[in-house]
Amino acid sequence: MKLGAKFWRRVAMALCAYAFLAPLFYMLSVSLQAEGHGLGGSWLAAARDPHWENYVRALERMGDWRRLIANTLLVSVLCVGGQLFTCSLAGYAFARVEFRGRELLFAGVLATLMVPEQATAIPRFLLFRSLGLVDSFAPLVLPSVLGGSPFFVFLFRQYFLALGPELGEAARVDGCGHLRAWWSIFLPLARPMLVTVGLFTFLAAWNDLWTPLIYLMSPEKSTLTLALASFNRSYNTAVELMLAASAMVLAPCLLAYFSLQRLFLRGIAIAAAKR
Amino acid sequence: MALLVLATLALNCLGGEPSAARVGEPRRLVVMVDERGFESWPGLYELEREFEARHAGLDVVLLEQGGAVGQQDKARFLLAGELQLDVTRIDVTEFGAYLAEGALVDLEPYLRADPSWSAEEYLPVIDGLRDARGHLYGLPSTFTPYVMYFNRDLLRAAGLDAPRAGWTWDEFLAAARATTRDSDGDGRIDQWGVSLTQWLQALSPWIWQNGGELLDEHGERALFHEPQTVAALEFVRSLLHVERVASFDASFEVTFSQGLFQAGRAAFYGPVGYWETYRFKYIDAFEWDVAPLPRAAREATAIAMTAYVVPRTSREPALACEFVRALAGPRFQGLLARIGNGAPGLRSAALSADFLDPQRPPRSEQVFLDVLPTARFLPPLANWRAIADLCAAELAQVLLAEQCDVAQACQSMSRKVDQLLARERERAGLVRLRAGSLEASFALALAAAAALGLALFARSRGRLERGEQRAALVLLAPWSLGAALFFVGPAACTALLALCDWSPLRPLSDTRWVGAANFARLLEDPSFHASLRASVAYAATSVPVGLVLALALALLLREHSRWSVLTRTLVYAPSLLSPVVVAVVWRFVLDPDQGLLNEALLSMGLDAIPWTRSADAVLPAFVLMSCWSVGGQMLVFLAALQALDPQLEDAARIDGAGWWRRLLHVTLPQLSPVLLFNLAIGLLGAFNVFAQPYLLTQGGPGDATRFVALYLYESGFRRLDMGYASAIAAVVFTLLGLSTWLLLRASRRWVHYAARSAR
Amino acid sequence: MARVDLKGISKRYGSSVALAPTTLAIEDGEFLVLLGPSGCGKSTLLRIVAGLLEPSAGELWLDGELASERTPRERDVALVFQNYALYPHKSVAKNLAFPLEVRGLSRASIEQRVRETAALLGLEALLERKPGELSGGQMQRVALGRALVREPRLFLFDEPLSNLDAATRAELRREIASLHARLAITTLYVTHDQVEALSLGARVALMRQGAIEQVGAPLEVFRRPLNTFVATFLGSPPMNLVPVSINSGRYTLGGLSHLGAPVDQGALVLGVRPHQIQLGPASARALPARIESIERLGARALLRLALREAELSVEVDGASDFERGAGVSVAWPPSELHWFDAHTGARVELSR
Repeated sequence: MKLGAKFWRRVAMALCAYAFLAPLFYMLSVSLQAEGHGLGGSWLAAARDPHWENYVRALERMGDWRRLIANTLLVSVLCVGGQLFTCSLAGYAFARVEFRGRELLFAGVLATLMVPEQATAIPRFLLFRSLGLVDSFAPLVLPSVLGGSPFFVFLFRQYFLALGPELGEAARVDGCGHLRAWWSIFLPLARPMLVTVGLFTFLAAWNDLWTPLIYLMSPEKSTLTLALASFNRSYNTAVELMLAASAMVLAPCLLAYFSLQRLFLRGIAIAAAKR
Repeated sequence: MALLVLATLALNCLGGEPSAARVGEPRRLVVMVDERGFESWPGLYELEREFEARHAGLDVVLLEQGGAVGQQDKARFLLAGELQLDVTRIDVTEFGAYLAEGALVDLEPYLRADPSWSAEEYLPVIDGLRDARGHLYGLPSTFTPYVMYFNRDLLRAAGLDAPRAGWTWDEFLAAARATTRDSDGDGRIDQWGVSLTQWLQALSPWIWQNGGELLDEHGERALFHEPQTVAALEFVRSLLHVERVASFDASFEVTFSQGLFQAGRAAFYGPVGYWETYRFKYIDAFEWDVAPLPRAAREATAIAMTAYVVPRTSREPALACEFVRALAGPRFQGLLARIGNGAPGLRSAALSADFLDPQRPPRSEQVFLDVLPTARFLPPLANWRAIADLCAAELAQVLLAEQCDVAQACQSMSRKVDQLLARERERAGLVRLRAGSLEASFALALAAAAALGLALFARSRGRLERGEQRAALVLLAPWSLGAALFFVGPAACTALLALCDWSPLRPLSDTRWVGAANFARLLEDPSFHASLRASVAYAATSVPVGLVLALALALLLREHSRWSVLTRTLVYAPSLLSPVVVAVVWRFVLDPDQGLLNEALLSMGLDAIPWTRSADAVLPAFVLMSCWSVGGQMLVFLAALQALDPQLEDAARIDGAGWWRRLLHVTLPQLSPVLLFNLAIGLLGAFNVFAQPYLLTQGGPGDATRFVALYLYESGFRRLDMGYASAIAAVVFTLLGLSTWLLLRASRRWVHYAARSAR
Repeated sequence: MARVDLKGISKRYGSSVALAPTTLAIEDGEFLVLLGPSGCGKSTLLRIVAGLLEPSAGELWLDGELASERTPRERDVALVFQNYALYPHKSVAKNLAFPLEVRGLSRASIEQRVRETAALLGLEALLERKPGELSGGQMQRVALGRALVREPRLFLFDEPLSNLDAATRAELRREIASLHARLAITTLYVTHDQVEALSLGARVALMRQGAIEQVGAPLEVFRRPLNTFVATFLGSPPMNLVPVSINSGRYTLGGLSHLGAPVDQGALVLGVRPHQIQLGPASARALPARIESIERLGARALLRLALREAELSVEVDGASDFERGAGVSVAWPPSELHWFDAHTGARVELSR
């Protein structure tokens, strides 16, 4: 009986794993199809005759892929660093500093989550244009470095609230100002949340298409997603190359996720359980 | 204080004019003419080098347009931002809008000044790029009339000849009937007479052939409701629903997957343009070719074209015009004749062996040129993107629904298009917004935010409290600076724009005041209501389904074992994909004819479901797709489950509570804060879903997946109605805020936080 | 070391009063215990002294200097928390060093002070461990060390022993007492445990609902409670309180009339501590009672007695052989009686 339950559990797990993996698997199989077969080819054909050269060709088509990777990495890393800095500072303030209007201000922060992104894109573009920052990484990075997503502020606030008030009080009595307490007590303790927010930010920056598309002009500033998008033509998409490129773009994300998933899980846990 | 200083600084910058090219810097020519991606680049580079050699000190900058996704967005932003763009390529369906907004430079003076210029070198399609006075505003890149593709083998098997010029609807119907088969006798048709294309431009030939028109000759009134048009649509509808000789697989303009024709399962495919030859060149299983469209009262076909134009933000119009001529000149047109999406507009290139190459299928490229005398552009006076969008819901109903009153749908289309045309006419009479108003609203919002902050701070008493306040100020400064600059300010501009009429093709200074008119339109816009309904329906299904699935997965995977850890990882993996890739993959999974999902259903002996083709099935399809990204929510539940107090569950177990009762009375109440968290985040996510419908269904079928975020985007960037889009944003913001607030209020009843208080 | 003066300190949150205006002085080197049930405002008072909360009104003086507006850092106080509040990511040594690092001491002197403090508290073997690897008692010892290490002017304790088991609690209690005896640092100690209060404090301040009810030496407070709250809160089992009516200087209890009431007429509450009640064999002339229950605690036994109009708890020697249901007579020395006003609960002194 007991073994039976366990057995069915395993079966259910295998099914889940399959259901969630199948489309990914499919993506890989298409990326190995012969030219022109695209989405119509069967995975058997891909298995029998894998066209690994699709990956090479995709790389070639992406042009200077080393530079693309370097650019994307630079943008993503700057975003992650900036986001972690500002959001953890703000989250700390909302959780651990007693100031007037805190609740009101925080409600305002959350309200900003509800404005559709497409609506503010043009005014923001005009702002960056007048700052002379179009065709630079600034528009991709600055909104993260200053004023990252309110959602992340929220997550950090939750996390710091969950740590309880005593640590902060102890630090203050020990003679810390808030900045010092944030830096030497709360930030080191927030590692799971740093990883969580960092991963989220990294993924968002890494996969973002619209912002680079709108702001970047010079080919030497291009990013991976832009190169990826240029595979995607209205009438003549080389699907196998596009998916090969996608798979290569996805790989670093998977890597980051696998290596960090333990901390990632903890960060989410603590933030979600608190009011 | 620093906030204020920066705000004023930003304000000054915002108000400033874009800096002109500084003295001593090389002159630049900015060109964005992404043509058939990779294959055209060598030719472009060659042009660039040649042009730079001819004009010393000139730097030609070639920009990427960014593929099919957001193809036109970049040009919109460049124009809105008054940034230099000297040459770009547009689709003629946009020509009317560009012309109406004064976004194009009249090329006539430059062309006339050049003695070598002669319009005679081009095929007559060039006339589609003239304004009412006959001035040219662009030169053709490639064009294609809509024709009919056919599978010669299938026709031969049915004892039919290839269609000849001047064949009729009746002959077409007979051929389609003869080739529609259920070869394995399972009651399902597996070989179709025609794979019928169904967007507005593809449908217009039927209307014209039947003697109907889309607009009157002044472009002021829609004529969809006239009997010839209704009859033409009835005919097309009968192919699908009465005769059942036409399949639905070509209902989208953009497709990645193999259609039925490519799979050898449809005898005819069309009306459609030259671009499909690119996909079909890989076909080796059968012989195919193209023929003119069948005729009714008269012969007619639609024509698609792209053109090189000089936008109004060009800083070097003379050079730009020269570059346009080079693009439309023999060398590059010759290249396009080999690799283009259509026939080159330059007569010599179109008639060359490069284009008419008999070795390369289709054999009868000549057809594309032969039908030209009967080919018609969509009337150039209107914003066809907007008109096509307006008609999408009715057309989908006409073509896809089992039951439909075609005449009534046509009436409704006419009415909507008339309203649009009337509004465009009235636009000229609107009052201009005073210069600097948007900048002022930006500044005002920043000032208000700063004032609010300072007011809160000023109220504090006591040195300690002031110290805390100061600390908060320092800690919040980086974040709020960014939020104010990149969020509050732009949001304020959006709020002002919601009361205005503005197209991103126009300079910002040409913003016109309309007051609450945008909101009044929203009240009466059935498409907006449909999009709200679609969003609500999507949220109301995908969020609960996602929650239950995530919880079930979490319960399944909570045990500590290698297998569950591995499965967790795999379940989350799809959440790492970019939405673009997700959409591409799902496009195939959901493909009604050859998709993974339907093949699985069929192999289990179930009926295939027309996922992306039926307004009823498409929502479940999207819910299914959203389930694929449920990994994040599952992790949240999983994490919360691991943090639970095992004593409570043990107690319940000792009390004799079964699995279900324990879940309901012990586990779930403890999970309620997490449930609320996932619910709120899920709701926000569901209302913001954009990439999937944009890439997968473009809002269709009908309006079924035109969710608010997509509708907003389309309004602003496709239909170029930024004021309206801003009004939508305002409404969405209000509704979302309200519902979140209600959710949080209601949650106090059912959310139980652990005893320990938060502070 | 410091002298602390609270002058009319109060704390309000909106309309709710967390701390009524309070005036209190702590002498230099004194050990003052704030005792009261949870939510009585004692932690609020402590946090105000620490500088973690700003008072709504009133002044706080440290060593004759106005300190109400100083930050915790400027006040130079140390605080030991109920849940230890050790920094989980730092080793014991780093935890001890942290307050010194914040104050910018040189590395050498930090090391020396950490070593001395560790030696003082017997923490030498634990220096490299993380708090997660320590027992509760060890953690609180480290917390104590972190407070001691920078030789603060003022020591604050917030229920430091509440999370510990009984044996560790007793051990640490003794240790705190001996540390105070040795270092003589002014100490404010918050607890809800009367044993700690009575054993540690040079003086005890009892608090209820945001106000101090009585301040004094432990024995004095125990012997002369100023109201019924103090009378019942201090002492275990609590003092018996019996409402009685008084006629011409005599009060009626158990059907008998007794001499010794402090007033001529009226209604008062009579209080007597359980261990002061003497039991004898039942007799008609003495106050009769019946034994309702017996709780044997080894050296002592607790009896519940039923009188005609009241119940009394009595503490007797554990060896005495009373039986449930038996009748006894009850008596007490008149000098051990406490009298309280029936309405206000305030102590009424025996004036005659």
